[in-house]
Amino acid sequence: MMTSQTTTNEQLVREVETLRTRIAELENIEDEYRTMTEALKKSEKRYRDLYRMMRLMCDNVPDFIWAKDLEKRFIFTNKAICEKLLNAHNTDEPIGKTDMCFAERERESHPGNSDWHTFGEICRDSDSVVMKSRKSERFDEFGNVKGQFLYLDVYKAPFWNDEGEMIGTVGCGREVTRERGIEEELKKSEKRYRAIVEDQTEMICRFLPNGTLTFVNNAYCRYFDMKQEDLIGQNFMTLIPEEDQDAVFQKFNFLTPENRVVTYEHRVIMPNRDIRWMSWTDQAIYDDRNQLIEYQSVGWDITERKKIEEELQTTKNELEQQVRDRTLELSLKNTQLMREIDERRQAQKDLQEAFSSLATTHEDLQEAQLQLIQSAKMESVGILAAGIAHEVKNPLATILMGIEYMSDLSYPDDTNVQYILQDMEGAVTRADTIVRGLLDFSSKSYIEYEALQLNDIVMRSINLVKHEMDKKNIRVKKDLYRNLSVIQLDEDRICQVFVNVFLNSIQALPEGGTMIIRTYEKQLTGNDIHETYVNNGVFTPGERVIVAELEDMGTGIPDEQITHVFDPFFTTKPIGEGTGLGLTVSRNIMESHGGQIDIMNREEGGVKITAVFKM
Amino acid sequence: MAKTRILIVDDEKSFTRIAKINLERTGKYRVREENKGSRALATAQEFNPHIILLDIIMPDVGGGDVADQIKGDPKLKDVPIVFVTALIKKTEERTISGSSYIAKPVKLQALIACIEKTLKN
Repeated sequence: MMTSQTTTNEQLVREVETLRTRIAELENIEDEYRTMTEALKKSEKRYRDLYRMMRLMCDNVPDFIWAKDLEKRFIFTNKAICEKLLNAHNTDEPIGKTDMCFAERERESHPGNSDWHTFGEICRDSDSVVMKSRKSERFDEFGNVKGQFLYLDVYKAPFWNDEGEMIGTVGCGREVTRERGIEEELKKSEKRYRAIVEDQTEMICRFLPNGTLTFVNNAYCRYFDMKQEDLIGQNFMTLIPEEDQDAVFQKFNFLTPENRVVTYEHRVIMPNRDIRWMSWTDQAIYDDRNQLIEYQSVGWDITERKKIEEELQTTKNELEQQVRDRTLELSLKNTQLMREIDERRQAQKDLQEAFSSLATTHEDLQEAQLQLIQSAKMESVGILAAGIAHEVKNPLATILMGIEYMSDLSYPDDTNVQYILQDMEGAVTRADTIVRGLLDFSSKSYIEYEALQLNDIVMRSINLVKHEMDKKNIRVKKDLYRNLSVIQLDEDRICQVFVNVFLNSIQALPEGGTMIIRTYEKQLTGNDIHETYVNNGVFTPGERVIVAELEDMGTGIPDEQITHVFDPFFTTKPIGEGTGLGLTVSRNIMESHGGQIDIMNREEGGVKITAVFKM
Repeated sequence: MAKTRILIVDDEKSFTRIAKINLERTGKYRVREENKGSRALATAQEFNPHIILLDIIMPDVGGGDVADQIKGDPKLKDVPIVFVTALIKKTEERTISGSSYIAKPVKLQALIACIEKTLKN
């Protein structure tokens, strides 16, 4: 028994020990659990933070991010895809749904607008492609979303789990609508540009600094009748005659980054070995570091122009030769002409001298002609005067007789009759005086010469007009040379001359005044004849003459009239006061005495009449 | 007392008429007019004047010729002639020299004086 007891105790002790150990173990486990729980809590928090961070990152990025399961149902979407493509309410809504589900919803929302949502229709099913290829791939996906065209640059990849099993696909996409638009435009532009370059009738090419062609357009190919691929890589210098190549290379030396363009002309060898002319405009192309990369060149055929130029040059040369010949010819003619001009000048000079002498002769002739005209005038006036005198005097005689008869009658009723008859008689007398003057004028030839002293005639004349002078209160200052020579004169006629000139001066002094009569002898000089007295050829220099001068301080005679005072019937006096014949008769008398009478205005006023008598 | 007979030969009819009137008004003269030189001699022969007043310039026969005709007539040759003229031309100077003459227009008194003076001589 004991043994059994003991065994039981021992068993119990062992069991207690075991229990203690177990408790201790449990306590350790509890500690461990507690620690683990805390660690788990920490870990959970960390994961939550990480998720939030990931979510925020995904929702803030503008690119589209998503994940789908093998059934193409979304298992993750970020905010960008929800808003811009799916039009989902939030990022949780798409979970478990396919994108077709959203596409249909969009189309249903705008049944009348087939263009509202077309995205994905024309794209291949890229998810299947990736799952099938099990490789990531890049796709262009596009179509209308909310009526607006959307272009996405999409990357898709298989979604592997930790065990390496494919559980779906992940993808990201970026909207590149604008970029693709620009790209399209660029493509179009390039196409257009290419068309321009290719269809250009001008030849366009690009070549390296060593002359190797890198581009040629269709026109270039056509021109040289070669294919593009044969030309590119070839040195264009081979198309230029050897002797012209250096000159072309020289042109490139002028090009700098500042001065990139040069134009030149050169000959080219055509495939049929013909030589033609081309004009090229080269533009040097430099990189950012001003290193020369290439030349771009535009050229055209100028063979026709060159031909025309050559023809023009030939024509020009010919013309120049003609001009030279003609100039030489003209120069010879010019010399000849100059000689002729000299001769003509000399002839002209001779002619001028002859003309001058002719002019002098002409003046003399004119003078003579004037005198002739004057004489002819005198003669005709004389004839006229005789006729008029006869025709007028007869009726005057009748009238005078009639007046006398009537004067003897008595007119008791009218006392005016006698006055009228007196006036009529006066009028007849005045008319008779005029006619008598005409007769005096026309009867020039009755000259009875006597040896007389001029002063005596002057004194007699003064006595004849004394009554008139006294009446007008005119004083005569006499300055008569006492020892005046006796000369042959017709007393009555010369007296008539002096009476005429005195009467003229009396009429020029209506308010009275002084006149001077002067006589003297003198020897004429050339000056006197040419300046003082009218040169009618009567006098010669050195000749002795007797001069009578009458000066009055009267009204003078207007310059334009003074040359006419000797003309018959010229008068400045009022009608009835003069016949206009006094001075004409006086001149005739002086001329018939071989003398001369002249009149001039005095500088200090009035006139001076000069009568010059031959001795 | 017998009146002095005066023959006036002048183509100016108006002058001869008024001269005749004026002269005859004095009561001393009987005047005959003749306006044509060509008829002067015949008129003179018929009228037998004491004195002839003769115009010089007349359209048919001039006074000079008339004077010559008068001087050539034996009965009239001593009849004095007074030339009454508007004009004395140089060519007529000879004819009138020695005869008295008076210029037209003439006043009656001067004419009468001339007539009387001529008759006295």
